[in-house]
Amino acid sequence: FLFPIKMTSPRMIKLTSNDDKTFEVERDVIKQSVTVNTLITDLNMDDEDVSVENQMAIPLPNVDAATLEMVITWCKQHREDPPRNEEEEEKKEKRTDDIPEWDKTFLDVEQSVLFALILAANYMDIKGLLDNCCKTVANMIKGKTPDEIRKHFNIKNDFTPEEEEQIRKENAWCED
Amino acid sequence: LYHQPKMSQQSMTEIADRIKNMEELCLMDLPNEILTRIFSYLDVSSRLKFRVNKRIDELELNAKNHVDKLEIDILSGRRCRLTDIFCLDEWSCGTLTGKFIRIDRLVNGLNRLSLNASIRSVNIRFIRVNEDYGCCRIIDSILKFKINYLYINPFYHKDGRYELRDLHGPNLSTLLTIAENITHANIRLVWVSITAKELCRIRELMLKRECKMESFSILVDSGVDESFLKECFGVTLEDHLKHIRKRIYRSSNPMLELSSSIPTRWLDLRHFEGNFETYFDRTEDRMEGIIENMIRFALCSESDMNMKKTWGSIIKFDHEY
Repeated sequence: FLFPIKMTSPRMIKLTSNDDKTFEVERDVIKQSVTVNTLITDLNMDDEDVSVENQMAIPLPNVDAATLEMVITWCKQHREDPPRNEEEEEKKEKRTDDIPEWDKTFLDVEQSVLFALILAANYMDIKGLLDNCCKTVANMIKGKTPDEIRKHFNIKNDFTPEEEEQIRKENAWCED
Repeated sequence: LYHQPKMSQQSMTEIADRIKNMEELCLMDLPNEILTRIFSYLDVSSRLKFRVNKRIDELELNAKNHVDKLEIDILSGRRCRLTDIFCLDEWSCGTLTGKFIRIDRLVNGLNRLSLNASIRSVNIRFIRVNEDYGCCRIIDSILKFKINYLYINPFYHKDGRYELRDLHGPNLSTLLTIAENITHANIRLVWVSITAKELCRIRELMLKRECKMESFSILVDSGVDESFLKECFGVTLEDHLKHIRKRIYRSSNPMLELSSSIPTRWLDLRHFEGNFETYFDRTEDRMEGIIENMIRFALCSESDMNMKKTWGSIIKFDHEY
């Protein structure tokens, strides 16, 4: 006997950026965003009878189109990642030398792009992306003197001379 | 399955360029919780160096910092060596390992770290007998941390008498700080000015579970252990003809239960109140002329307590040993 095989296309979700661009993304891909996932569940959007054309788009007012596109790309790459256990993650040793190679290349971008991704990952609650972005920033900080850090990130030194002297004393033991 | 994103590297670059052109975000545009998250990936040294402006300095101060292990060898009153300092990231902290550091510099760093850091295990070793007590400044700083395990030991036990003196505050306030901040403290130095009354106070706090401390051991000068025995348990010792070790234990409380592995031994006594152990041990090295009087207070597990109770025999009061 031959049974007819029902070909089901992956369930799609619509997301709208703050500059009014709409993206269609597979449900399975965007599940990594806790924010989007919660909205989908709360708004009963998992109803298979509603076609993507008739579906309401989820607005993401804190994310622009270009950043959202990068976030979706990251989510596609990590769709097969096992679900995170946040309690276990907290207990784990916090390393910065374990960023996957693909992520290293993906995050090798201008600082402003990296910070936009961090803000988006934070807003959309995508822990994996947020962690790898923060680790990338941490790696930029490591091994630099305070002056080098200020120069690298364009940070203004607003300490008084007395405060700076105090900090210099406190850091003296770990200077090369 | 390995999913390669469909987007090419060129289109990714285009997207990145578009983001870059939209607004120039910088590190200081990130919210406090993100900066705090970044701190969590930095080792001790990088955390301190990252304090590049007032906002980050304040954030660092309010962010928890956990150091797994801190090991310090004190080489003289002025120099020490960090043999091990691990904070979250073993790899980058390794750069500090083996470094020689001036004690005054380390003390400044430790004082700042102690404001928001806890340490699982601290091990301080004295390579030489301290001459100007710079090492006590390190101990003063260390006692400000929340610590699970603190060990302070001479590197060579037979290298003379190592003293704990010239600490910043009075003994009792230092002891109360230790009891409040440290869970297990094992200090193999002679705390020269500690009194029996002060030891009784700390024991009482531990016994009533009114502090964090679960075990505490310290070396005391000869005579302090016996004064403590009298102050705490009302027990006095009468020793006659020391060379044949004749000893009589006197107590005003006949219900008191003290045990000793060898009752005739100079001092080896154990007392349990519930699962709280008070232990005295005097060791003599006649060749080196060193006498160590150790007092230990500790909460014991049920099994530990049952095992220890089998080790000695109950002391008979007014009996001639």
